[in-house]
Amino acid sequence: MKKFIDIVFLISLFVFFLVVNSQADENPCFKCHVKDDFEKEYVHAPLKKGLCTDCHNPHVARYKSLLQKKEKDFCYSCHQDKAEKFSQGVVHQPVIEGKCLICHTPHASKLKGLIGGETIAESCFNCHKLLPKQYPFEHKPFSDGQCIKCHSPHQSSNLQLLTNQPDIMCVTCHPKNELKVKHKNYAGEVKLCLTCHHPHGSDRKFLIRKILHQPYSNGCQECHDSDKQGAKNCIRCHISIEKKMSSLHNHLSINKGNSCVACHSPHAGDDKYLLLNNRQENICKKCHLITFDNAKERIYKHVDSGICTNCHDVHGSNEPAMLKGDGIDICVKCHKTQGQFSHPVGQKVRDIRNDQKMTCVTCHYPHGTDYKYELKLSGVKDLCVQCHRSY
Amino acid sequence: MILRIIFLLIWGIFLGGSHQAFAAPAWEWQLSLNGNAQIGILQFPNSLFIDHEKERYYVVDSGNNRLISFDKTGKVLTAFSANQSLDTPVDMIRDSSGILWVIERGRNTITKIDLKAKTVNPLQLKYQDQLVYPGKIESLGDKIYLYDRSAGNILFLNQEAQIINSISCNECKSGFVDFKVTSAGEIWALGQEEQALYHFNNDGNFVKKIVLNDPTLFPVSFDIDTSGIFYLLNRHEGNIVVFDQEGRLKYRFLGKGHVHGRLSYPTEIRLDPWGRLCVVDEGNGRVEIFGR
Repeated sequence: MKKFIDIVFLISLFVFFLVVNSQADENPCFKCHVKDDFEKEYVHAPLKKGLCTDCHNPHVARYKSLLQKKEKDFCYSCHQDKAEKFSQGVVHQPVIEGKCLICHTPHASKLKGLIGGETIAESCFNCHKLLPKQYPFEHKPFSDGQCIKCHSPHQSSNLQLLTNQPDIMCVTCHPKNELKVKHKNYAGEVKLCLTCHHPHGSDRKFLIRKILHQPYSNGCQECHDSDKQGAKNCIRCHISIEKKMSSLHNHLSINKGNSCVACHSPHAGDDKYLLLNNRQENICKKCHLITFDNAKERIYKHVDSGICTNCHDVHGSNEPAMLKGDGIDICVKCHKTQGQFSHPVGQKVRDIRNDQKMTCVTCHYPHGTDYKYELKLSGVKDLCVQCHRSY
Repeated sequence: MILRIIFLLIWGIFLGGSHQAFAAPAWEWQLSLNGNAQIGILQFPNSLFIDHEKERYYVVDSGNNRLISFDKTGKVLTAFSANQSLDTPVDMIRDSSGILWVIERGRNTITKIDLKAKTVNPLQLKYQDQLVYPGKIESLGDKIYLYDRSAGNILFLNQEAQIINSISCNECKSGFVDFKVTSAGEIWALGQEEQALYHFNNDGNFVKKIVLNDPTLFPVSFDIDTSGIFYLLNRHEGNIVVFDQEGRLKYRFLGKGHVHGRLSYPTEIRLDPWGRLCVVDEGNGRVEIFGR
């Protein structure tokens, strides 16, 4: 009898562990959250292991979605190796802001790298809304939605997050000998592809950019002649720019040989100024990236129009920082009333620190500072007492 | 005897291991070259020439189209505008024969001013069939060195302003942005985008390149002290970044601002023969002089 009781006890124990074990396999989270939603081709490693509580607190948490840490802190707690790299060079804005989930989904995705959405391009276009999604003539990687074939989504040492220098990237698919055949009249090695071709697409065949430089549409000889070289070559027609090159500060020294082509395409472009890199801001960043990066990190920043020429005369100016005016004229164009009621400014009002004329930029640094109204120091006291010492 | 050796050893280790603490003292603001009641304030000064022989500073007061001389204590001596004929002067030298050579940006000339003969002769130069856009000028003995902004080259001129040689930076995208000539006639030139200094011997032959190890730099000017330490002027940040002979970052000092010892859009840096560091501070309308 005793033996029988022992056997029953052992069987009961076995059944008990079997039941308990089977319950452990059943993640309690999926009692409410539909499990199918978390089962796609690519599943985040903690989820695959059923470790929901690695990220979420089931009861109460400080952050949305019952997360225990900030989004960025969470991601980097496992992906530590990425943190340093993602802070170097040109960094994608969501990465700077630590908003990984703008592009990635934290649980499961049909796309490698847990990219959200149906396609990579869809994820990109969620933010890059101004980019045309279709062109009559399209570059293959663009029409395939393979943005990451050319752009590095986290960071890069190249502007526009390109994976390499544009000319180097182009020849990976378009071999040099093939390019030479297609550009018979091009003197020397074919390069500077993007000065004529749009890498996404165009209304024109061969992805030639929308607007052609008038002399280019007439033939090469107008500019490419042995006695026509340098910025002078451009100034022959663009006469008004010559005076700018006589300004105290100007951009003549950029890009030796011909400074004009550092910013403008001599052949074709997407706007009437034939600017390179699509956006003016991207051109300025080529040399002034530090200025942009510094501004990004500031708490109070001027509204970013992306149009540097609103304030700066980019060809040349007699003012420091190539401003279009004296630091009052430019500001009152938009801040119309400040010119009348603010702290006195102008020729008769001198800054006692250097005896120079007081202007708006005496106290404000429009790109951005850590003080309200983009003041250079705290407006509560520190800035004022630089001059008003008895206060 | 043993005690004495131990004592010396301890001091040796202490001094050797903590050389930072015994590094050269910090730079401190000493004086400013600015205007006075007689000549008024400076407006957008752009460069400085130091006359070792006469112990004078010459400041190119670009915004007021004039040159101002100071003695080494900072006292204003004269203001000179060549009968108000200068048009946006940006740099100058006084050569060994006492001739002033002034770069006028407004006219794109290098202007020869003979004070004794009272003549002003603006010259437009061409090199290899291309118009020269003079940016900076230096001299040593009877040689004149000119930086051409458009080509990014440094040109060697004789005293008749004939171009006899040139040096260029093949790997630089925008050429050089500044250069200095040492007392031995060697040339150092700065590549801005490359963040590197290029060394040439006095015949203009390339000797070596030193890459500056600081990603936050937007250098516009530099100088070298007698021990080979480089002082780079970072225009946008308004600071000075110091590198050792190998281009390793040593320290930075100064910063943006308007009080003495702070900089606003500085344009040029020069070490004077009295061991002081001079910074042409365009935005604050003065030349700040630091000593230690």
